[in-house]
Formats: sequence, C-alpha cells, structure tokens
Amino acid sequence: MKFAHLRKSKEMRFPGGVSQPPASPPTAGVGDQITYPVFHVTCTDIARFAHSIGSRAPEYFDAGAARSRGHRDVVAPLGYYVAIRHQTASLVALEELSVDGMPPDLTPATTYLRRAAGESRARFHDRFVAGDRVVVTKTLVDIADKQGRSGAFTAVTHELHYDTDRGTAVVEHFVRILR
Amino acid sequence: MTPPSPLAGFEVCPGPLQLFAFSAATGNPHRIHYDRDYATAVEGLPGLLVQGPLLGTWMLELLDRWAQPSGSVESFTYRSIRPVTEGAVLHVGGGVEPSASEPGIAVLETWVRTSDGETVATGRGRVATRTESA
Repeated sequence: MKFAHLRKSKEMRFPGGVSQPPASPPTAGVGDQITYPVFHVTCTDIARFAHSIGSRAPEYFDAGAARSRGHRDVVAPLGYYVAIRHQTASLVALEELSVDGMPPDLTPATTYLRRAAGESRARFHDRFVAGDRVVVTKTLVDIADKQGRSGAFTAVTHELHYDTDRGTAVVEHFVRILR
Repeated sequence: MTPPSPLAGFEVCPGPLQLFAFSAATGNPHRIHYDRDYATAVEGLPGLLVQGPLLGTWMLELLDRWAQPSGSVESFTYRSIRPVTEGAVLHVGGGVEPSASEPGIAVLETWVRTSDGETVATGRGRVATRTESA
C-alpha cells in the first residue's frame, strides 16, 4: 500500500472564533480531521460569489427579494459551499502554500505533479444566508490508487460537514485527484 | 427507454476574467486557474483551466431554478469528465428522468458540453418537488 508509512489517524479540534486556522499535518492519513475556525457568511461575500458565476438572481443580492422567496436574508447560491471550503482551507500564510498555490490541507505525502478537483457529492439540508456562522469539519476518509484514461492517479476523499447555528447545512464528499 | 425531458439550459463562455473572479470569490489560490505562465509552462495545460466547481455550480443553478419556487435540491453529485480551458463556449443543460420511484422526488441529470457537443462535466441531482422554502 502506497501510504502504509503514513501515521495513524489523529484528530485536531479547534474552537470557533480563533483568528488563525490550524496548520495541517505535514503528512495526512485516513481519519485525520480538522475543524476550522468559524466562517462568517456576509451579503458581500454572497454577492461576490454570485457575480463570479455570472448570476443576477435578486435573492443573491437583495434581502427583500430573498425574504419574498421565503429565505431569512440574502441567500447564497447552492454551490456556495465550495467558497466556504476553499476559504477556510486557504487562510494560511503565503509561505505555507505549495508551488501550485494550494495549501497543505490534509493532503497525504505522496509524489505528484498536478492536482485537480474530482467528484463532489453534496447533500443539502439548509441554505446559507447572510449572517450565518459556519463551522467546517473536514475528515480524510479515503486514499486510493487508481488507473484512469490519462494514467495512474491517487484519489483523496474528504468528508466535510458545514454546520450553522441551525444545524448541519451541507455534507459533502469531495475527491481531490493527485497525478 | 424514454429520454429525459430537457431542461432549459444556458450558454457560458468563461474567460480569464471570470476564472480569476471565481478563484477570488472562492478563495482558491490554485495557480492553474489564473496564472497562465504557470499553467502552460509548468503543468503543460493549453491555457487557464476552468474550475470544476464552477461547472458544478452552473449545473446546480440549473437544478435550483427548475426546483423553484416550491421545491428544493436535496442532493447533487458532479464530476469533470475532461479538462476545459479558458474561452470555451459551453452549454449547461440537462433533463428530468421520466419516472421517479419515489413520490415527490424528481431525479435530474445535468451536463456541460462544448460547442462541438463534447461532454466535459456531468451531474445528477435529487429534487424534492413539494417542500417549504428555506
């Protein structure tokens, strides 16, 4: 097994509200877990995300429009969990970023040249709205060597829970491809 | 086998500005999406790579618009089939599967295709068709 040398699982928990995110372990193994500092959803951040996908839907920009559609406040596009996932993980010092720009972020120690986003499975229980405080807990749940059309690669699966004060809003299984 | 009922899709053409804006909005520092020299010279890509989550978000928007106003998206799975780079004209579309096994649940398939008809990403979602708004 390619990753047999990696250490046993461990858990790192950090209370919400701290200003610095936790440092990822230098080598990550199945079972490793990070709970990130609280992420604050704002109407500005939602609008920035909505603009970046080219949407002009009024409920993403205007609280009145959102409330008229039954939401508590300005509501985020469903895909906004990706913005929370990246922003929580990449809040690190520049010198901690790899040459490709990516943070360490529970990536197993292996030899690879490129990484890319793989499959994402998300289950939605609630919508993110402006004012939400989100706690993301990420667990490395699988590391698998595979063979694809473009050659061998390693699939690293993370399970992420996005929790607000109302409960779990989104549960995601995200695969990162290392080649 | 009955084909899915088509959804009204939309066309997009993500250029370098949009790729940068999406990287900035998501806080994604991966250089293959905004640093052309790095993407081409180091990773051997033909240009800036369109983010997989951008394709996924577009497909989710399609589902959400279909589900509104009385329904809601319960779950969604997507994957990129092949890399797509800046400037590609893409069509985001999909269809509703004709027979759902569960009452009140619709299953929708989505895709992103190039102007040549090549599929670059696919998705599949479950929509509760009669729910209260969030």
